[in-house]
Amino acid sequence: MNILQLFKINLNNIYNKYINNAGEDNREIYYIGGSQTLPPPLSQEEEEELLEKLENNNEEAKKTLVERNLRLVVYISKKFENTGIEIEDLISIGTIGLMKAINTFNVSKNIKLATYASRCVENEILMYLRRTNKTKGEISIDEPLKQDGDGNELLLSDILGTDNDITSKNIEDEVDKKLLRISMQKLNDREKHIMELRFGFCTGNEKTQKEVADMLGISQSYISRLEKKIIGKMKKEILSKTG
Amino acid sequence: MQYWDGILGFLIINIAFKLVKNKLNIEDMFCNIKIFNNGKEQRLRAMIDTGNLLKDPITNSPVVIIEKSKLLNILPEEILENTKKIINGQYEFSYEYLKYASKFRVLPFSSLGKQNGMLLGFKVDRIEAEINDEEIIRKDAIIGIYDKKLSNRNQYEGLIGLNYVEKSC
Repeated sequence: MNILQLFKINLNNIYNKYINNAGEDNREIYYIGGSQTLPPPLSQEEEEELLEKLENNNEEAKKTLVERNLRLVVYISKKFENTGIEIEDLISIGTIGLMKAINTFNVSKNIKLATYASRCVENEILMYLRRTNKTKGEISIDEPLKQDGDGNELLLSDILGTDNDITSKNIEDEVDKKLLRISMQKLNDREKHIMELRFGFCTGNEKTQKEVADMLGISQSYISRLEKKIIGKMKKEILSKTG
Repeated sequence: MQYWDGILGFLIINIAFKLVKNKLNIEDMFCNIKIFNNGKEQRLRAMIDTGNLLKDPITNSPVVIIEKSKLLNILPEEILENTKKIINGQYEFSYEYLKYASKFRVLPFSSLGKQNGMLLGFKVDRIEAEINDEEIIRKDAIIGIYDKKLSNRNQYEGLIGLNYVEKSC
């Protein structure tokens, strides 16, 4: 590794010199290295030292604390793998929780950093799951439902929606009912009785002509004639009112 | 892919050879990069930097460092301006930006200027880099969001390391 590093440093020096000759500017990042694996957790002393620095709002301490607790985030995130969210994404959310934990950690409170951070990490993941799950059952209103032979799509928006006459219908029905009642009043008792039996205005029970005929002791054909006459009378009455 | 080791070797030897012959063309040190994320695309120039050894500690994916000015197509401006706050745990993601929260990666680094640095990384769908007339596509590379300028004369806006060319684990 040593020779390789040397070689790399030489390389950088040489082309930096060359580039400087050509009038190129100086770069700030000459070398940037990262950790090879996940950094190990802090020892007791290391943690104590860093927490002290944290109390003095040392930014570097914050970053080191985050870095050295990433394993904890991975451990906790694994518990949520079955939610269908990729583990990398879970770790990302968990890390945000870790960063929040370190930002809000109160050293004087009687709680270990690991415990506090674990709660924050889990909280963050749970919140994320809750907030993103809200959209699970959603379906677009332009969702195509069926396609007919010509390739025309039936969209959800075609089915949804209220009928145009939803308010006017009720009003019209009310008027019809009123007219019916008025016309009924013009009938004599027997006519009213027959209408009620046949159409069930009050009871909802509609009887056949035969049944009504049997009840009243007359023939079905007579009932039929009577019914026609009565309806004609009612129609006349209603038409006279509505013009 | 097996031949990536070959490309890596070829690159190193190529650069070294030209250096020794003092024929190093500045153009060899640069390459064009295309970033693809969520249907959006961004092109920029990057310097091939042998000194960039940055990797995501969790996935070991290589990191391409990119100036935040070139990421406006990829991330909302509000997030780009608040990377420090995000790392400090002082940023709350609104419901609208929640989809970005799961794509961040924390990248600890050490450099000559800074022993204990932390860069905010972002996972994009795809990066394409044209290195030595070869188009190298990676779906696992992470973008390291850099707050300042990489080149004072705007010659390049990204830094790509040799680990980008390495075989993905």
